Amino acid sequence: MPPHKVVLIIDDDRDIREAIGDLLGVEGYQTAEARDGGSGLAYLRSHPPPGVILLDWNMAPVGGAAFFSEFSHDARLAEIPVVLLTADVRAEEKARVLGLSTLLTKPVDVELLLAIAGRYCG
Amino acid sequence: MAAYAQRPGAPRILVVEDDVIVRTTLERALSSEHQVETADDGARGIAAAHALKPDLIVTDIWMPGLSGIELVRELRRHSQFDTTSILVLSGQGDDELRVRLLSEGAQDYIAKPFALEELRARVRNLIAAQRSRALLLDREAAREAAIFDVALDGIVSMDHRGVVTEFNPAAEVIFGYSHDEAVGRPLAELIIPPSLREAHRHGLARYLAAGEGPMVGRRLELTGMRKDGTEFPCEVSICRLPASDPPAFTGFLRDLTETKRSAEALRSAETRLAAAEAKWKAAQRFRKLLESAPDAMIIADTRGLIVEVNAQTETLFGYSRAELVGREVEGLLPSPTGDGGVIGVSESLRTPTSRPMGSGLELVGVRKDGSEIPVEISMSPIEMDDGLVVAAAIRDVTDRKRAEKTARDLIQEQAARIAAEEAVRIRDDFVAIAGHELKTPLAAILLQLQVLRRTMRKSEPLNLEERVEKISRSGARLERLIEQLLDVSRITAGRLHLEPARCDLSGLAKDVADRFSDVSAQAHCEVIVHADEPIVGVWDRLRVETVISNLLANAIKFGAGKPIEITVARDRGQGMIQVADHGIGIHAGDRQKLFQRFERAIAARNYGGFGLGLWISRNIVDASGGTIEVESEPHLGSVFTVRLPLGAEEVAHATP
Repeated sequence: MPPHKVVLIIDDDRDIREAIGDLLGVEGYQTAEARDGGSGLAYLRSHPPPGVILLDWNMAPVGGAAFFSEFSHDARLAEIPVVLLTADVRAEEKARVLGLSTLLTKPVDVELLLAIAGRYCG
Repeated sequence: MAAYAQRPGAPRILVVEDDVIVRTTLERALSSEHQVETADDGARGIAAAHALKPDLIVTDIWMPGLSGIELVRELRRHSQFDTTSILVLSGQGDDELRVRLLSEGAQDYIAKPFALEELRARVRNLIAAQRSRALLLDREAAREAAIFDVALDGIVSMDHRGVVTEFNPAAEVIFGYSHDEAVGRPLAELIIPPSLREAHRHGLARYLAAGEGPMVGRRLELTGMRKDGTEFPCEVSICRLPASDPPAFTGFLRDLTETKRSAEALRSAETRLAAAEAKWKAAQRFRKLLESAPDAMIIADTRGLIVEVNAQTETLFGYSRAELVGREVEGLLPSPTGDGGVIGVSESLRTPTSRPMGSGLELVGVRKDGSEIPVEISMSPIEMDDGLVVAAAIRDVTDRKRAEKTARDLIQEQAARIAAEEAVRIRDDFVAIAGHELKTPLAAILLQLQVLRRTMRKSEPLNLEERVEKISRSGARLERLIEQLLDVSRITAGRLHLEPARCDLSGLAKDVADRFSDVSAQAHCEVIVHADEPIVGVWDRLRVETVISNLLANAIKFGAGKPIEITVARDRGQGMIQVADHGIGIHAGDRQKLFQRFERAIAARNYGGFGLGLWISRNIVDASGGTIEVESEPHLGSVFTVRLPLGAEEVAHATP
């Protein structure tokens, strides 16, 4: 069995980041964590591409929008699936604008989270 | 020549005939009915006519010496024969001569030989006509005489030499001469002033030469002279007496002295009347002007007494006009009390200049019933015939004030509504943020619980301590958030109660820094605490901790990756804590908003938290009697400084 691809979690909230990481870990997935968009990009440019990126939108200093702008202009990265991870009420619209089909809202729907991880990193 | 002896009262006839037979025949034929005299040639005929004044002259046409035609012409030159008829005895077929006779003034003719009956008939006719004419003329003369005597105008006649021939009673009165004194004397020296005599003589001479003159037939205004030598204005109208030759003149004179005097008096009276009328009209115009003014108008003299008012004033102040005139202005428009450089109406009257008053000033008018009305006054001095007065226009601004207040209220209402809407919007935003903020640790807790459950289900080794630690951390975070919300509620309701107790600021700062060591390490912030000596005071320990926590949390949030310095010191008798970061900094314009509720200098929601930390901190510091300030430079960092009074008791205790 080939090694599972990594789930990259980009969220500035340590509690959320760790909780998602811990949960996916229990279910046998490998995860990586980044505390903002900048750290996420740094990770992506120095590691093999993850199976999926869980991206928080409201972050500081580099937020989801800035990250996504960089990310989608980088041909090597643009193919990686991104799932928006947000509590923002307008997230659905935002996801559609960004061309993202999947969306995770907080509090996190655990079954959906695991399904996403299963599809991209299983 | 006898003088009508036979039939006194009968018509008198003069027969002029050279042929004695004819003369005698005629005398006999006419004597039965008339008094008849005879003359045997023309010259004697004329003399007899003058002497006898016959009613009728019967004359032959052909006589030696003066012919009949010459006799007619001579007689007709004299007005005294105007009533005398002339019958001419002519020859047969002498038609041209007869026409000439008639045109010279003869009344009739009879051709020789004639029947005596025809002669008698013609004589009777001529006598009858003459009688009636004479009667008429007599009447006219009588009337003329009566008029002459009773005329109000002086009537003075003179002959061609300028000698007075008539002088009526009115002339006697006007000039002071009696009729007898005047008649027969030269007019010039009688009633013409010496300065005009030469002109008079010259004018008369010219008239006599030319047959006309500028003085005759016109009404003239000349100067007359009385017997006593006084001169007077006199209206004169001169006419030439009809058929007078050489010309005689009659003047009608009227003394204009009285007329002139009364005209003068009339003119003077008229002038006075006109002046009075003009004044009255001016007063009327002034009144009309006053009445037409939209404002209440008060005219007052410089002593401050009301001289005149309009109806609007009566309405505005509730007094009648009669009550107002003579009253002091001060009673209606009291001088403002207090200073402020506001000059009252009464005061202004003493130094009257045009000025608006009360625009922007709260001047009041006092009505009869004692109620006050807000007014605006403008005054202007008016120079009247009888001195200086001041016109004050008083405008009741009650309605305007009310409208202004309504407008103000409306604006305030609008502002309040906008503020309320803004508050609702902010609250909605805050609820959304708060929801998000509360959900985040809750989500973490729920996820950790899932981890716990799945681990247990899989019978894998359970790192219980790690799970509990993480759940506790998120729980504590949730608690802090809820505590903040409660603080907001307490502060808003004014129920923030402090529980002061003796504590050490340096120790507190170190505790907080320790508690944040994980967070600051995560953010790669080195936190350096400069707190070399204990700073002891009386404060609510937990609240002060909250303040320091908020400042440090912000410093980490906005200054990640850079060192943070916390300094605790005694400063001017106060405990001072300074938190300095090297983060994004705050623009000057945003610094004021920083400590307000729900305000966050940066608009983005990329930073977690309610954005209430500084507002809560400020309220805690305020409640503790301290101050909180920020100094900041964009991109270089911010320094927050909190100063807290030590508390009197503790200061005394702490100071050796």
